[in-house]
This record gives sequence, C-alpha cells and structure tokens, in this order.
Amino acid sequence: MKFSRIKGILLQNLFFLRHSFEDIIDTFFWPTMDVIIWGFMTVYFASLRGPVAGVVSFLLGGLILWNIVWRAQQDISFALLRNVWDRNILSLFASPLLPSEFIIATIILGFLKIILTLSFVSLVAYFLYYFNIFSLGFYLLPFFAALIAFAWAAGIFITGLIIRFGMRIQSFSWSLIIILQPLSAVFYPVSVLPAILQKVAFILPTAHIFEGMRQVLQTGKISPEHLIWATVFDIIYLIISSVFFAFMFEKAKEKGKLAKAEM
Amino acid sequence: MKEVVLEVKNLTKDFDGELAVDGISFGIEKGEILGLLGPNGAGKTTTIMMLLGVTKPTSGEIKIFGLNLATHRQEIANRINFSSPYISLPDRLTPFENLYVFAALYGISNPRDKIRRLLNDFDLADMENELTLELSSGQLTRLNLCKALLNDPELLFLDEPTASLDPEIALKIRDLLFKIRRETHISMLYTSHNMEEVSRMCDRVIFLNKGKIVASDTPLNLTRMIEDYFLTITFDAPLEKVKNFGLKKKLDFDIPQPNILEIKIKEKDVGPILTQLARDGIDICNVAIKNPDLEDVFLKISSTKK
Repeated sequence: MKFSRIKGILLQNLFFLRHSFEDIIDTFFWPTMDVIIWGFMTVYFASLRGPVAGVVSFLLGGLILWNIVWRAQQDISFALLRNVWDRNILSLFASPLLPSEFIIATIILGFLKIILTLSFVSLVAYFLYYFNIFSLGFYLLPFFAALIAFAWAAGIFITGLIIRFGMRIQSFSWSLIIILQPLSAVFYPVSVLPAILQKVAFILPTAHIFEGMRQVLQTGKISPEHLIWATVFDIIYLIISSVFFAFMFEKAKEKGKLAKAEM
Repeated sequence: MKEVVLEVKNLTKDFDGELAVDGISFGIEKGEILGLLGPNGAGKTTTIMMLLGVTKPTSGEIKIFGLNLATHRQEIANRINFSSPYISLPDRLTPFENLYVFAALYGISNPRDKIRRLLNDFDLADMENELTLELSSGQLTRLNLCKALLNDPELLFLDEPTASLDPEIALKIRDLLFKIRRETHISMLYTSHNMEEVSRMCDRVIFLNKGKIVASDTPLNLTRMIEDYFLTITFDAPLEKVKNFGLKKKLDFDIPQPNILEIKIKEKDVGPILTQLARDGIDICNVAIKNPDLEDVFLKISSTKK
C-alpha cells in the first residue's frame, strides 16, 4: 500500500470538487438548506408547550442524522460511480492502484467531507439560531462516529455490488440503504417493532446508535451497552463489507467487467 | 539473444462457456513492436485486458519482465501502460489535473515538468487548463497517449492509438512513437484497423481469429502468403475483343468500366499477360500493379477461417 496512490484518488476528488457545481451543492448547499428548514421548524416546535416539542426534536434529530448516514454512504459509492460514468475505471485499475487503496482514499475523503460539511453547518446553525451543536453534549460524538463507520461499511458493500454488476444497479447507491431505515429505529424506539424485527434490529448498529442517542438526549447520560453493540457490529460489518468488496473485485476481473469502459 | 519482456504461454479465457482466447502463446522482445490483428471478436481486446491484469485468465501464464503477472501485478503495473480510444478521462477535470492524478497513481515525483512536456509533444499545451470535456475526440486520444507515456513505460499496449486522428497528427504520433522507441527501447503491443500503419509500425504481426493465433510473422513474410497481384489496365480496344481475350486465357477478370480491365493474377504471369495483350492488338494506355498487403492477408484469414 502506498500513500502516493491514495493521494492520487484524493486529488482526483479534490479536483472534482473544484470544478463540479454538483459537488459544491452536495457538500454545502443541501446541508445548509436542511439546517435552515429544520432550524425554523425546531424554533416553531420549541414555542409549543407540552410533550409535542420534545417528540419533534427527536424526529428532527433522527432525520438529520439519517441524512448523514445516507450522504456518508453515497460519498463512498459515488467516488467509484464518477469514474464509471467518466469511463475511467479501466485506466484506474490498470494502474498500480490497489482496490484497498481506492477504498481507503474514499473513506478519508468521506471523513474530510463530513468534517467540512459539519463545520460549515455548525457555523450556519450558530449564526442563524445561536445553536451550538456541541451543547448536545460530547456523549453524542461516539454515536456519531459509529454512525459514520456504518455508513462507510454500507458504502463499501454497495461499491462492491456496483463493481461486479455495473451501472445497471447504480441506483443502489442512493436507494439500498433506505431498506435499513425502518429497522434502524430512526424515528421510533425499537420496542414498537414486531418481535422478529426487533431481533433483526439488534444486529444493526444504526438501531443501537439511534436508541443510544435518544437516551443521551433524554437522560444526558451515555448508554455503554448500545455503544458497545454498535461498535462491535460496525467492526463486523466493516470487515464483512471489505471482504465482500475484495471478492466482488476478483469476480469482476474474472467476468471481464473492469475491461468494459462503461461497465 | 534479445531480452524477452513479455512471455505468454497457453493463455485462455473462457467467459461462461464462450472461448474468447484459446490457448495462445507469444512473446515480445525488448524494443520490438508487435502488431495484434484480427476481426472484431477475435480476442484482441480480451488478450490486452489479461496482459494489463484487469481480466483474469481462465488458464495460462503471463510473464512480464520475467515476473509472473498473477503474483507481481503491482511491480509490473508501474512499468507498463496502455492507451485506447474507447476509454476516457474524467471530463470535469483539466488535462493537466487528469495527468497529475495518474502521476500520483504511478508514483512519479515532481511531475509538473513531465506533464507539460508531454502535453507539448502531443500539441495539447494550449488545452492544459481547459476542461477535458472541451477536447475533441482526437485531442482526447492524444491525452490518453500522454497518460500512457507518463510513467516512461518499458512495455506499452496501444489499442488503435491513431483512431480518430487526422492523417497529419496520426503521422506525427507514429513518428513520436518511433522516436521514443529509438531513445528508450520501449516494447509495444499494437492493434489497429489501419493495415498500412501496422505494416509501417510493427516488426512482427500476430493474426488472431476466434481466439487463436492463425498467423505470426513479419509484415513482409505475411504478405507473401498472398500470391495474387491485382493488375488494372486501361485499354483502347473494342470491349468484346478484351472480353474474349480474358475468356480465352481463363483469367479471373472484371471490366468495371468500358476501358478498364482488372485481372487477379500470379506474380509470375504479369509479364506474359501484358505481352500477350499487346500481341493481340489491345492497346495498353496504363498499367497499375497492386502488390498484396496486410489488408489482403487480413481479408484472406478472416474469410478462410469463418
């Protein structure tokens, strides 16, 4: 593994960001719009009295955080898809670039993009609503990190599917993770799910993360149990998705998929 | 004996029961340009993709610089490169940025001067900071060639490198490739549908058909496989007289225009036929003799192997 090759992929995406209006929109515009719209709604609901105000805060928090999972996963898949759309996959993988270097570069890129987006959005939230994101408590940070790790695992898994099956399944990049949303207890506790689905939810880090986050917001205390389970399953899914990607990459080579410029 | 840079043994690729490449073996020596020819679907692209390590062979062995590609791909990939008009580069990056990215992938330190020199050599210096999407297809082909030469490869795979280029630029590219070969002893595997170009460029040619090597030799020796010459005679004589001459001599002939006679003939019969035409009182105004070329070899091989 060589840093210069990881740097190559990072540079490519930096150049994309420099020239692509869509990338700038994705990184700054949509998150800012989310903050503005949901900020006003939060201001409105905060003015209401009774339990509604608290419930709505959970819903809004869930929505914004799920959006982060969705975008972080897309960052990983889109780094590959862009090269598929540009008929550049063959040149990339005919070079000394290793698939693992490509994935590491996209993870670093996703991380940098989230830091950039979050910093910008925090500033917008602070100046518009005098809202300090860190006032939510540093206890949320480990859950937030676990959420991003799961998004990366999902992104790597979906990238593996795309490299094997090509553009015909490219819509998975923005749709597949939605399947997990009902089981992730984003807007409601896991306890409302039927018993069998609760068992499925248990193996999803997202369900532990959203449950744990709600607990932090309600009690101001961290739930070690949810955090541990989320971390354990994140590690398992990151390993599984990496092995899956490597397997799919080899399958794609076997089927001659990488040789097809447009996949 | 020259150093062998590429050695292919019994290379086979089977795509779910469809044999794309069928047990081919060949090699390339240092500094040699080998042409890979064949009709569409012959297995040329699949062969190149296996040599690049992006398609996994079903069986067989590929050794590049004496190293097994299956186990030393990283090391080999740093020393080879390729160009094809069927691939592209991200169109929202500038040519300079695209080459800068590949310079990092190939581990080239301080690549700015090198990139500028290549862009200059391929007449792309003016486009350096334009978006790649602004480039014409010919310019894009040249940018791909810049990418292919970025790491000073010792072995270069060129898939139709002059496709979509106008004749003047194509000639310049060929001259440039020859210059690079003279200076660096680079080896090349070259595919093209332009047979004249292959004849000029390649030291040796391999013909593939249905995944198998059906002929392999120098362009000159391959054209010797074709014994027929094509005589085009412009005559001044009654048409019937010329027709009767052709029938009497049992020639393989055609009269596409009232004063043009085309004859397919063996080399040794050219002189006697012209003499006999004159003796029979057929005035010959002009004679054109077309020697067999690689295109004839290509057509013969493609038709006989169907």
